[in-house]
Amino acid sequence: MAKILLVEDNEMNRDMLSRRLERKGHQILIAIDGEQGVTMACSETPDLILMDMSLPILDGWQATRQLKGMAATQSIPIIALTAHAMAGDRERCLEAGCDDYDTKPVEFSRLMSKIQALLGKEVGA
Amino acid sequence: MNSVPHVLVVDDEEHTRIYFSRQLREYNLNVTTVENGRQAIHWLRSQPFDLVLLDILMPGMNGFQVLELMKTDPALSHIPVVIVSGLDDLDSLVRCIELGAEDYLFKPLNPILLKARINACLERKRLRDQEQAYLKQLQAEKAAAESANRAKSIFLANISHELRTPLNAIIGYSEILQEDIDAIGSEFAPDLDKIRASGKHLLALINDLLDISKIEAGKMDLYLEHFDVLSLVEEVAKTAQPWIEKNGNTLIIESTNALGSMHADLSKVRQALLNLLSNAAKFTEKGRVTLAVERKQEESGIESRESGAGSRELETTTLLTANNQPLKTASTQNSELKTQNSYPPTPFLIFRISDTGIGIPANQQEAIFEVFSQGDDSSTRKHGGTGLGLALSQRVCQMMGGYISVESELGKGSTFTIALPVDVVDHQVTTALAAEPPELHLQTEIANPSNEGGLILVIDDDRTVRDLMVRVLNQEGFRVVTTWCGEEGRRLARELRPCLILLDMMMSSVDSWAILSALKADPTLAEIPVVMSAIANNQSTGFTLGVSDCLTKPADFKRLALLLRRYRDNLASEKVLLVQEDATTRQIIQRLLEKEGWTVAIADHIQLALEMVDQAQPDLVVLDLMPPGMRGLEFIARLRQHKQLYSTPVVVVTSKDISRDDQLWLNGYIGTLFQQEGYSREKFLVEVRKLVTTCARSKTSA
Repeated sequence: MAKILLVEDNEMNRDMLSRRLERKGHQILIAIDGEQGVTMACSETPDLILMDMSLPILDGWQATRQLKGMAATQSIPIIALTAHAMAGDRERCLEAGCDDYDTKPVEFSRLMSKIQALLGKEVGA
Repeated sequence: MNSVPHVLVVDDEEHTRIYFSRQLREYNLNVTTVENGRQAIHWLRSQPFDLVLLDILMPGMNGFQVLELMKTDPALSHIPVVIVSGLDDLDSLVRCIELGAEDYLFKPLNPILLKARINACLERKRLRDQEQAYLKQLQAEKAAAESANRAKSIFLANISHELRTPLNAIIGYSEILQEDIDAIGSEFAPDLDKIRASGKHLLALINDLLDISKIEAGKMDLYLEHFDVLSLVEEVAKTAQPWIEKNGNTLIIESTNALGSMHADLSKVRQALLNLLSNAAKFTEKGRVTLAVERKQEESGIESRESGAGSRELETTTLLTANNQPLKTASTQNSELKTQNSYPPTPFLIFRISDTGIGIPANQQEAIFEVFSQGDDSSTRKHGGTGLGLALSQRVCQMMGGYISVESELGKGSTFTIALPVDVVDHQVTTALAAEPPELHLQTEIANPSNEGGLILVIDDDRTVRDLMVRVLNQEGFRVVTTWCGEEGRRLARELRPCLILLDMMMSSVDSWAILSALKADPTLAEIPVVMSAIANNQSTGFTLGVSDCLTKPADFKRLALLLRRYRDNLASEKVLLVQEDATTRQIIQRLLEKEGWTVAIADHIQLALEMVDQAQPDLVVLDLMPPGMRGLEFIARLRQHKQLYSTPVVVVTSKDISRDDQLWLNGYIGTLFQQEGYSREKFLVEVRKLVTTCARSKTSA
């Protein structure tokens, strides 16, 4: 299945999400801050990135802008995950270059359909 | 003012000073006399005065100079000045009044006139001071209220984050365990399900609370879009089906006529419908739940019906049918409707959710729309729910210019009615930014069906400017699609692939530069040329910056190379002017350009660049627009006015993150540029035509 990079600093969320995605047959790579996320995206070129937005060192918005600004990584779809649900969050994520957006707590089936949609689009493109 | 007013007399003649002194003391005023301007300024700066009597002709610093100094000093400008002059010196007097003198007295002085004028002056000053004090107080209060409101918003954002993070783990892990247990089967399953369900319930509660607070703080945004009503109804019915069946109920859908599409916030309409359906299912057993939908062409079509909740329903109807009828009560609901009512009548969509359930007692029918209120406490215990759903749905409908009403009979059932305008206007945004009526896009498309010129997307928050652009660009043979918002602009750009985007760079509520960066950061849109333009509020002047391309990341040289190659295909020669202040970046770009075979002319500042343009005759300009200078804009504005070089493509290199401060500064700077470089509306339109035609045509030919 797909190679998914999960960038998330909260250990529990990371553990939970990676286990559930692995059960669905995906290969999961883990980064625990934005900087590591960018480095790993460059070296591993995953099929998709799940990006928490409030991250240490480099936040999700900055990391996304960097990834979308580099030719090697700009086509990797990024789904922003944020616990914020204030007005404008969605816009800010999309403005940063994220391809989709979901709020935490993650509703797993909804997230899966978003992942599927983006991966499908990649294959078709 | 409770203290005795203090008057400063400035005159070089001793007998005048003595005269004033004596007279003013007689009127019970405090008097200080000085004999020249310098002394006057010294005294004024050392203690407060309420009035200055000023002679014009004095040795050293004269009256004009004193007056000028006073009126330009914010600490002194509020003190009224009465000029004392000879009758023969009218010119000087006029000059003093122009400089800000409050009144004048002629020599020889008349004691009665003197008293009247001085008292009038002092009274005016007292009133002005009072007004200022009130204003200051109001401003302070306003600032305090705003900062409290901000603190509340930040608190809300934080608390929601803090609460959701642990919930994330609770729900997530119980779902993981549930998957495990489903596989092996276990007696723990029901307990686990309760943990998960409680977690979900808590989440729903937090979400609803957050939504209600957002609405009340005016922070809830509407995401208006066009959607098909029947599809929504079908989708909602499918979602609600399991809840309805749970209590042995049947769901009946009634659609009376062609429903068509509506322009509203889809997720909020869906939320309200699901809420009412879930309530109906919850409070009905072995009965029927009916969802009936119809489209009313006239607002008067919403007829008053016999209803236990009469007042609410009837009043709403009154409002909708008779504009001039005075309101009996002024609840928020009705004032909202009144706002809506000031717009021309629009068709409404009516959703009726009826059940055959327990019904609501008449005395509780008002209260159910309030926060944390169900029929009564016992029903909360029996039926669960957050107690926020109905309150939230009501507010959400009101935001969209509609309402929810109820009629119910105890033991027989309830009918909830949602009425929403077919075309919702976003009241959060000022009327000028009002969402486009659905026909406009179509009209503009049909207005010029010729495909020749291609499609242009106009992003501008001013409706009149959008209309103007449609006309102008249609005349040039382009089809035009307009929008006022950047987000929608991006969506349209992706969908319609216009050959050019015309972006307003002075939008009041939105950040044009963020839109530009977003467009350019999107690999699927980066190729589309964007022309930045601005037109003044009164639309009499405007100017354009034909920013043909924009690199948002200085290090992204690979894209620069690609971009330049694309341009070179359309150019006769290969001369590029590089305008870059930073030496390192300049060298890198220069080397890169030369490697690509370009002849590079270098300017390390804007002035030089402006001088070089004529002699270098570049085919392309690569321009630094990095903070803090960003004077590059001025260069572009000048270039656009150049006789031969106006259409030279400019590739702008800007910082990946223009900060908020830079942004504000930049907007201010554009304002200044506007004054310096702006030109008449006619010329502006000519410029836009030229630029658009050049850019769009070269794009189509490329």
